[in-house]
Amino acid sequence: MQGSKQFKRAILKNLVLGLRKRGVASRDMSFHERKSAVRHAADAALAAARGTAPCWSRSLAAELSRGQDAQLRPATSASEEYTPRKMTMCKRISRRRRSIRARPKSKATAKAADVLARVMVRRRTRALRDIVPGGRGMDECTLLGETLDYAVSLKAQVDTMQLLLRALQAPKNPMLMQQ
Amino acid sequence: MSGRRGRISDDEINELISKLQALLPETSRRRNASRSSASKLLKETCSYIKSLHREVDDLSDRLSELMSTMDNDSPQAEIIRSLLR
Repeated sequence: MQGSKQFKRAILKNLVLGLRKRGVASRDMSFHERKSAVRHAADAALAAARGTAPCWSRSLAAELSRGQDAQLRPATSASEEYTPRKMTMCKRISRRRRSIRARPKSKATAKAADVLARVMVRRRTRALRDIVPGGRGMDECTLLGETLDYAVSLKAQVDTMQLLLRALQAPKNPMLMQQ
Repeated sequence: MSGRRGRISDDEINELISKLQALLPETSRRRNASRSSASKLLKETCSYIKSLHREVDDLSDRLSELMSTMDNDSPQAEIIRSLLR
């Protein structure tokens, strides 16, 4: 199972645009700033390309924008003028979180639940919940499908980044080689 | 893929499991998925996802190193600059 060419193309396009937007080509960035900007761009590109259908994608996008907000809005002390803004922020975040939580599947058949109980060993499920974005809010049925989708999408992200890296590193045109 | 509503059937679960099996690199394809191999499958899936995370991290490293070498005037730097400005 593979991510489609269309999907990878979307990731690549988003990635290049994201890198441009974050100005990673500029000279005055520390190593960590640059690396974190590249990573951020890569994850944002993935989530945007995948869209809002899967829960992991929405969770990832929300995580990324939270991180960005934290950078742009330095922590302030609880002063009067910030309280109203803080309250609206909280409402926005909890509203967002509510829409991100996957709606639990309506009852599986007893037999299917049996199969699940056998399959989903608690330890394994917990591990999966930790690594799939938004995994903690999902029921087990959803988690399995989301894991599959997430793994396929991650692979597409890796392939795309490798492609970009190769493209930027290899001057194929012999005329471009100065020495 | 997601957005499936209503009951999830045995068949759907089995389908997801076999898709996971097909996805993982170098899985030993077993004909009859026994109970123990299902748990192993989930463990391998975890490892697989973690290794993909590491790859993304490594690639981010290398991409950002590439960006930072753009101070010079090599033709490569020119290509990168024109792509990313």
